[in-house]
Amino acid sequence: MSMLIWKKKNNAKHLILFIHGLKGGSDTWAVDKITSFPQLICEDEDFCDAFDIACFEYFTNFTNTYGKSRNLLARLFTSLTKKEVNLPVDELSELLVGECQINLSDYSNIIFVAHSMGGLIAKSCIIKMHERDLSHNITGFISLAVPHSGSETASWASMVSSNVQLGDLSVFSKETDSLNRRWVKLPKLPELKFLYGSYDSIVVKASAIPVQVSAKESIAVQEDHSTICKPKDRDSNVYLIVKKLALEIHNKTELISSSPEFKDDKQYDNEFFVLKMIVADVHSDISKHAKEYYYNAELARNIFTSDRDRETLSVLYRKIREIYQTQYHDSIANHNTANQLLAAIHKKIEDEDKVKLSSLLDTLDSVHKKGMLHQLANKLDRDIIWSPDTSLDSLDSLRGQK
Amino acid sequence: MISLPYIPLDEDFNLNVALLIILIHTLSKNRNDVLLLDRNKIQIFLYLIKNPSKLEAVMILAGKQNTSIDMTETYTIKSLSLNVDILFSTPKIKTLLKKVSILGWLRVTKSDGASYFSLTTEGERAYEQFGGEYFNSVKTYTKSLDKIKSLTSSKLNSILNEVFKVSK
Repeated sequence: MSMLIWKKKNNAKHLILFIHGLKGGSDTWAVDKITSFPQLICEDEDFCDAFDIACFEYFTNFTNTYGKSRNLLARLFTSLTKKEVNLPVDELSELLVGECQINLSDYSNIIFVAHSMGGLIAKSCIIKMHERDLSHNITGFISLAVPHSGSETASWASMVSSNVQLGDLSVFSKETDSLNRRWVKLPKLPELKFLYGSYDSIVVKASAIPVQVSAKESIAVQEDHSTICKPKDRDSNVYLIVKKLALEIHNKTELISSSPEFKDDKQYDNEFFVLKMIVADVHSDISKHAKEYYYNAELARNIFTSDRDRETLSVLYRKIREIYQTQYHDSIANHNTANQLLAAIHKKIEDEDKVKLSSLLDTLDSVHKKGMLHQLANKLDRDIIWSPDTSLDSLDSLRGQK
Repeated sequence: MISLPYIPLDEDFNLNVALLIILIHTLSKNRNDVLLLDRNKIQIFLYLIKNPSKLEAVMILAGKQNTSIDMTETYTIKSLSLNVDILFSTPKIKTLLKKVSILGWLRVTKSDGASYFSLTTEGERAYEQFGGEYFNSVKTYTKSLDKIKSLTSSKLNSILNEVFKVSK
């Protein structure tokens, strides 16, 4: 049985997963019967249905330590259903790792919003996914009053209780210490925000903000340990921080992953690479695609701007020009049309993409390289033309007419 | 030889000289006229002016109230580029400083074995000539660095390291 309680599930791209703390549950996030943190997000139009919302639920109780009042035989044989007990943080995080692999692997981004002990579970999960080389999509972690160095209150309580979770939460417990040590070694961390309640007496500031955390990632809010996870409305600071991080992550992915779509608003119609195709009577569809290649190459050149990148690009331009020349000779010799020439060159560039045209810039693919050809053509000269009849005068006068 | 079918504007020599002049004018002294700019700091600040998306992150990490940087500067394809040449290329900075000095606009003051840079009166006059939309936005970014101009270059470097770690 899954340990996820879905608050909103529309097969969105991203997920916000709430993880409650010790002795918590769904009510951790609820202000009253109607309003709760997940509910506020579900109904917020700014999230534009880009996020699914779920809560990770596990059994936790102060007193339950195997129901001591009953004897062993009674416990073994009277219940056919599974008996839930307080599991240590380490084991709970294993369950979360399992959920991430089984139920949540399709999301582009997962943001953990974790309160108190839930934060240790989240942290442990992130560490385990990294250490085991499991590909994961956890890109945000918001820590709400999480006792990264343990809680004094838990230390006192663990003296009188044998609850394993309380033990994990004690000051300088083996669990928090090991998590902190492994955490700093992680090569890549998700986007982080560490929130602490200024009025929190259970998890104090010194523990809620781990030592290595920069000022940028820590934020104080005017709350105590139990209200920090219960924003009353959409104007409360905790809510706004979660919203800002979620939307930032969403925007970033949109920017990076969307292969930028080209929209032909005739913006290139006066460029020489387009005019050269018009003069050579190239089919309008080929020229439309050429504009798209050109657009992608222009984007790429804004990314690869260092001296080293430019050297690599320069070599590529030379090779692309050479491919063009060979194909152009061939087309003159065989009396090919401009359409045949362009089709042949585009194909050749695609074929050579990973062979002759391979470079250290792996993200450049054949689309960019085809665009680079048109960047080379974008000059008032006869260096790259599609028909031997193209003259500078004809290009110039065509540009004048436009 | 590098041959590209376009002119990398960012690398334009005269443009970089102009940026350097704006930088030295704005950040060379603190309120008490103590000189602040050595070559290392010039390198760091020039990098930040040329990469406003990183500037914002540096200001936040330094704990200074940041000037809000326009979304068009931070959410751009260019902001994904990690071109840190100017941070590491001493010859580039030296060439720019040479140019400003040949023009007679650069004053160099030696103090405790380190050289500090400021503008001469002619240099200040040249600074006044830079106007227009582009230079005004550069001037705004440079002014926002005012709050961190007194930090040491090693402190600035450690902040930059943090920024790169986050943007990885």
